[in-house]
Amino acid sequence: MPLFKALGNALSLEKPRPRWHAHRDYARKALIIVQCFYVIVLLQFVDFVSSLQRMAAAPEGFQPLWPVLWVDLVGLEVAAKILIPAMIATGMAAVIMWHCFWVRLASSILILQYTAISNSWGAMNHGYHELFWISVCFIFLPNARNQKIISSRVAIIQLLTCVSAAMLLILLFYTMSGAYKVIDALQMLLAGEKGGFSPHAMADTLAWRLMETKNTPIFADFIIENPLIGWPMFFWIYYAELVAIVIFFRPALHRAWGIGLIIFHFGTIVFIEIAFPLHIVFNALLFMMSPYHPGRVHSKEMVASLPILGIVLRRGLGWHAAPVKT
Amino acid sequence: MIRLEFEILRIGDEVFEPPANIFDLPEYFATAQRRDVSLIKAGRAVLAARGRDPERGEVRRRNLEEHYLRLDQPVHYRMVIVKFDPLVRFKTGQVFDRVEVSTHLVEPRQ
Repeated sequence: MPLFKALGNALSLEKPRPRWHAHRDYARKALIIVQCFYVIVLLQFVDFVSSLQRMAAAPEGFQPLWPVLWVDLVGLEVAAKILIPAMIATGMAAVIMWHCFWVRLASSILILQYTAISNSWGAMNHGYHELFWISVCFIFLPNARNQKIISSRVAIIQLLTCVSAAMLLILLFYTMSGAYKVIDALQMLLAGEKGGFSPHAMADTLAWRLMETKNTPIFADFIIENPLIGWPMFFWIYYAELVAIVIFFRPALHRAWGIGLIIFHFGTIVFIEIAFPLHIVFNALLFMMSPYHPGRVHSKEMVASLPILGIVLRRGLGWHAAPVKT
Repeated sequence: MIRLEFEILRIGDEVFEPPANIFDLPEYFATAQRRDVSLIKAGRAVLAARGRDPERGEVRRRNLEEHYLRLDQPVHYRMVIVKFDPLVRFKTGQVFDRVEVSTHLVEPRQ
C-alpha cells in the first residue's frame, strides 16, 4: 500500500489529502456503475445465448482453449445446453443480487467460458476481454446491499477499490495497445519504412481494409484522397492510448478521456468497420461517469493536466493543473 | 506493408484465372468475409506454428480450412505473402513483391 501511495503521489500533480466525507459521494456514484455493469452483463448474455446456439449447430473446426477443455469431453452441443440456462439464470440474478458473492463469481466464470469458446476457432479476438476483467474486479465487491455499504467506511473503501481497479485495468489495456503501436511505428521508422508515424498512416490503413473487405465506409474515400487530414487523428490516438494509464491519477481528465476513447472507437467503426460496442459502453460507464470526476473543471487546468504535453504549459507558462482531491 | 493473403484457384469445376482473393468471393466464403480479421490472424498463426513445429502448423491449417474454407465442393487455394504500398495498390493494383507459401486442396464436406 505505501508503494501504491508513493506511485500515486508521483503520478498525481499534487499530494492528495484524504477527505472521508467525500468518499460517500464517490461510493454512491460507484454503486450506480456496478448496477449498470450487471445490467450490461444480462444484455450480453442474451447475445451469448444466440451465439452459442449458432456455434453448437456448426462445431467443425472447434479447437478448445484451456478454460473450455471440458467441452471436448461432452461436445459443444451439450456444453451449450449447460451454459445457456446458466447464463439466463445468472444474468437475471446478477441484476438484483449483485451483492451476492456467488452470483458475481458465476457471472465472471460464465463470461470466461463464452469468451474462451468464441475464441476457440483458430484466432483470438478481444471484444469481450474488458467485460471479463471488469467482472473479475467486481468479484471482490462488498457483499452487502447499497444502504449497508454507504454506512460502512470499510465497505466504501472496498467498493471504491474494486471500481478503481476496473478503471485502472481498462486504462492499462489502452496503454499496452498504445505502447505496441508506438514501438512498431518506431521500428518501421528506423527501418526506413512507412509505419504508424508516417503522414499517410491512416490513409494506408483505410486503403488496406477497403481492399480486404470490399466495403466502402462513407468517410474512407475522403481520407484516402486527402491522407494528411488523417495524420493528426492517428497521432492523437497513439498519444491518448499510450498515456491512458496516467489518466487514472488525473480525475479531472476522466470524462475527457472517456469521450476521446469513445470517439476513437466510433472512428474505427466509421472508417474501417471494426466495432467494439462494449468498449464504448465501458468507457462511458467508467470514465464519463467516473465517480472521481470533480465536476466543473476550467479548460486551462484540464489542458495543463495533460500527461507530457501539460509539462510544457506548467513549467513554461506557469499554468496550474486541476487540483486532485481524494 | 507485408500481408498474408488467400488466393482461390478452383472451386469444384470453376477455375479462377487469375486466382481470386478469398475476400472477392463472399458468396462462397461468407464466414471469411464476416470474420476477416480472424482469418488473417489464423493464417499468421499457421505460418508461425509451421516455423516452430510443422506438425502443429498442419493442425492449425486444417482447423483454419475447417472453419473458413470448407464448402460442399473441393476448394483449391494458395497462401501468398504480398508486399505492397496500400495507397499505391488501392489506386493502381500494383504490388512490390509476391511470394507463394503453399498450395492446398480442401476436401468437400461429408
